[in-house]
Amino acid sequence: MNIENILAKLNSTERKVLPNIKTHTLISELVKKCSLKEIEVTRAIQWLYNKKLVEIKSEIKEIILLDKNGKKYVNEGLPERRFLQATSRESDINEIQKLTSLEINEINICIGSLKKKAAIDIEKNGYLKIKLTKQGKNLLEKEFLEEQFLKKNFPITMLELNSEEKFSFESLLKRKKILKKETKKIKKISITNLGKKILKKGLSEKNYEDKLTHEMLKKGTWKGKKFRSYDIKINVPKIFGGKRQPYSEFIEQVREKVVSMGFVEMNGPIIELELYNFDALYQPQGHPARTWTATYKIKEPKAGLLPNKKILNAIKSAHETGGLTGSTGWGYNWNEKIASRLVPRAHDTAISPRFLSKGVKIPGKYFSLVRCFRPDVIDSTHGVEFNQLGGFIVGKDLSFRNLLGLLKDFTIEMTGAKEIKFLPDYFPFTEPSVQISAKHPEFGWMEVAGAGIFRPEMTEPLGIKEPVIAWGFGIDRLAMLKLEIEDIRDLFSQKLDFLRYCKKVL
Amino acid sequence: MPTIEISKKDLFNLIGKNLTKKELEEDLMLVKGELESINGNVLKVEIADTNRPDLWSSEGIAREIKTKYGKTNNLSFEKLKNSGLIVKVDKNLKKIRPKTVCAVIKNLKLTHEILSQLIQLQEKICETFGNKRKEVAIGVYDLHKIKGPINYKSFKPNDIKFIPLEFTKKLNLNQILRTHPKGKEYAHLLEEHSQYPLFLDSAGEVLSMPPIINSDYTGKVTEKTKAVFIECSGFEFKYLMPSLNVIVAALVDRGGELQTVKVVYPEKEIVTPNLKLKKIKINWKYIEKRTGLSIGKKNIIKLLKQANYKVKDKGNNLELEYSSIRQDIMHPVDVVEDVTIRYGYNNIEPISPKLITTQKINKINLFNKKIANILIGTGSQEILSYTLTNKNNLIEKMNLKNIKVVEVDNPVSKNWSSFRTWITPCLMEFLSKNTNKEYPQQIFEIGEVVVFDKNAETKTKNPVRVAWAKADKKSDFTDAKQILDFLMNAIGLDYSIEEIKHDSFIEGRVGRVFVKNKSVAYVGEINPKVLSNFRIDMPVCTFELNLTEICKLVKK
Repeated sequence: MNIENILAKLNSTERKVLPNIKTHTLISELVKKCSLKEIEVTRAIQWLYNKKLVEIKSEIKEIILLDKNGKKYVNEGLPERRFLQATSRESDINEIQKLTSLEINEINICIGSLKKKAAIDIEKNGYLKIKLTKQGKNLLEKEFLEEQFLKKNFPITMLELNSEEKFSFESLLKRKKILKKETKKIKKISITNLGKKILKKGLSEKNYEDKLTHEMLKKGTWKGKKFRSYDIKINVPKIFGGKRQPYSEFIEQVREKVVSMGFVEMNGPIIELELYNFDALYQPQGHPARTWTATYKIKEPKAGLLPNKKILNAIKSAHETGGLTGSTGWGYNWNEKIASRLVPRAHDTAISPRFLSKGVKIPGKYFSLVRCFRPDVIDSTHGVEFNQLGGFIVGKDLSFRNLLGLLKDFTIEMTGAKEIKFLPDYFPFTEPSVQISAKHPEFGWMEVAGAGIFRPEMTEPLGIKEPVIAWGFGIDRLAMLKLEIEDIRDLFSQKLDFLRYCKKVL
Repeated sequence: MPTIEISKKDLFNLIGKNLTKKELEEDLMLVKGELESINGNVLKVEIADTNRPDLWSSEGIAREIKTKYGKTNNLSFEKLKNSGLIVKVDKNLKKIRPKTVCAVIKNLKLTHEILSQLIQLQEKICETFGNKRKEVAIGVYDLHKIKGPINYKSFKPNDIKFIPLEFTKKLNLNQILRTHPKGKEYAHLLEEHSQYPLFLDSAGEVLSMPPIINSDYTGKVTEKTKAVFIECSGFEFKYLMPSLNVIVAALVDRGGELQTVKVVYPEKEIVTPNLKLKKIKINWKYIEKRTGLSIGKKNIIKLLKQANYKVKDKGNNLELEYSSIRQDIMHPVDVVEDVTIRYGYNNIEPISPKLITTQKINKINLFNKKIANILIGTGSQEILSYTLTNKNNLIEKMNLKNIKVVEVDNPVSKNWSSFRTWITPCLMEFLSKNTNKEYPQQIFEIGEVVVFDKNAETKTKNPVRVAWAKADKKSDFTDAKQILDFLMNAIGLDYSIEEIKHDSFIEGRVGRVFVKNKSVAYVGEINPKVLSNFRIDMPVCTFELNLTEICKLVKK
């Protein structure tokens, strides 16, 4: 690059910094000299370096600093000084301790240090007695080497220490938090030959405009002016635009996909009647079939309002005797009070009986995609909350075979899997029941959905005579695959950078 | 879902055939089982059906699989011999643990494998079907050590002592609850009572204290034991009978001779077990209709027999008899499933249902998407939090008092123990977790909250809300109001703002937003007290809007 070109690219801070490098080699010096901020100088030097006008050499220096106790001792004096002064009045160790109010560990250090200096003698006579030696008496009037050392103007570099000071430094460094040693990189800046040539040419700014301004355009003064060239390859500071949360977007897309398959969306309350979460799904009270999912309880409100008696009586007799459904029922006394209790919805299927009892179109396809709540142990496969996609199809001649057809379509649509298989399963409210697994190219067989034909004991009390085929997808697992997330908790990521940098395009 | 361990060799012996891994996996579908692992001879199988305890042992699994290979099971136990043993149930047990059903099995040749299956089956029944021993506790005893008749009655905890299983010293009942591992585990099932139940023989030897522990003397069953007495105790026959039946059926499959026991209650006498075949009628065309399989009556009968049904062909109707260990069959649909499983789910060719229906998405979800897109246009990052949070975040840290929130009674963790009533606290928590990330941080979240509504069916309602926040050195009220203004313009709503007092915000810098006289939002600068509670050292301005309300207002 020729000199003219380089000159055209130099901005105002580079122009300020470059001439001063001749006399000043440290960034801290340049900051003062140019009256710029440190970040401005650092950047200018980086740019100059990119243009090969300066050289940067890093030197590693060891620096000594005062630590917490060191600062304290500078003000209060070293403990051994206090100790020495106390021994001139007392010899009983306990009395010395009282007088100096030093900690036991400090006392021990003092004894060690003063013995080394031959300033004290120790007598063990049941208890410790300290006696001042002649040298000790001398030292009462004289500064210790360590004391002299602590008077230095910190921070200091290792290189400036003479041999006496090194000795003091070593002995103080061994003690607790008096001194600390740090290594620091110091950058030394020097000017290159190219830089010198540029300086010779002169850095006059007259020929180049830094910025095109509103004023120039208004007055037309831009005409005939040259503009400083930019280094267009240089990194610019980051900004973050607005983005959707990936899991939220995924859910939205799934919802739209299911709707496009001819389904009507249902919704229900987060805090649900046990009636819909359990009883209307033919899950008997006080029976293990009711505890197949763990369920939260809430403190308040305890109970909600039950629907009309007609439905309640039909559910009651289905549970007790089978009612008109042709079933034996579960054979117990169904309790309306239990059904009126409120729980956080434990599965999306709780919504289905709400809609079935309100009257659905036949034939009809219905679905919901909602948050569910279960008190499971929270780990990489169990989140605090999870989303479930579920629903049903009601129609006169629907069969188990149709259910398998629906599941196959759904699974292929949702996962893109080429291979699927069906396994017998158990749900208290469906019979027959089935689980569907899909083969993932990397992870092998994965359970993706549970389904079945709703039991007549469930649908008939709600006024539905036709078969209802029902299904539910574990949507979180699918999202993890699509978003390449390994920990289910990351679906609700609380890490801003994960969301900012997430590259997954759905 | 019970997961059980079984010996491969033992299982194949019971089936009468060695199976490859693939065949085994295929055949386990007959019991809704999935092979979790094979470790040498040890198979780990997960059984999906929580209502079929008869499947939770190698005997039960073999019972279902062997019929596929032409073998049969003995289903009828019509004329059982009376063992002569009598169990007398005392009336003072009524409120404690009132019921028991019992059986005797003789001529046993117990092996290590049979014993471990027996113990496992017993445990799984008590745990899953018996609701952690509350509904069902099972005891098995060495019959030869017992002198009949047996008494089932209650005692004061300090009045009687015996040596519990695996102990060497006599302890009274309280000591057992306090010191024996099983005592500690299940003490809560008895503690509320002043007397505890015991089985004793006529010599006064204690058999057990149900549902806690057997005695070490009679309750120890080993490979040398030739005959056993079995009792199930609890509250209701509908749980006890099937549990006893399943246990005795497993031992009968091992060649034991089952005999009955007379149980004498204050009001009546019963003879247990009762293993009479149960009956159900089904129209074979119903099976075809429900499954969608046109396979004909002959095939259906064949599959039913494989599924351990005795079939009487009465034209369209089939009269079925089945073992009383099947307590799950309530309706013909249960028979339909058995036939379908026998046919093989993966042998069915799926047919997609062809129904013409109209599609519909919830309006609020469409509206949410619109709002999200407007806000990302302002350079804001969408985030997602849990609906569950805690009172500390919702109330204390937000510098508020007396807010009613729906609290979970049995939380897994205190962090997630209350449902959020508004979303701003979730944004604050998010910001507090990202204070070392680049600013400005401009975020929003759309989601449901849970608030009280005494007129609602569920006493609560779940309005959808959107909260937006900006944390930055220079963020202030103007930023929040600018974005709010942009949003309201974009959805075509006029609004007004009234100054209010709200302790989460700086006084004089917070307002309530009204649209058509309806309060729909807050906008303001967060109180530095709140910021310091969340350890955020940047000013934060926010607004929060009720989208459920706004959506209605936009429509009109």
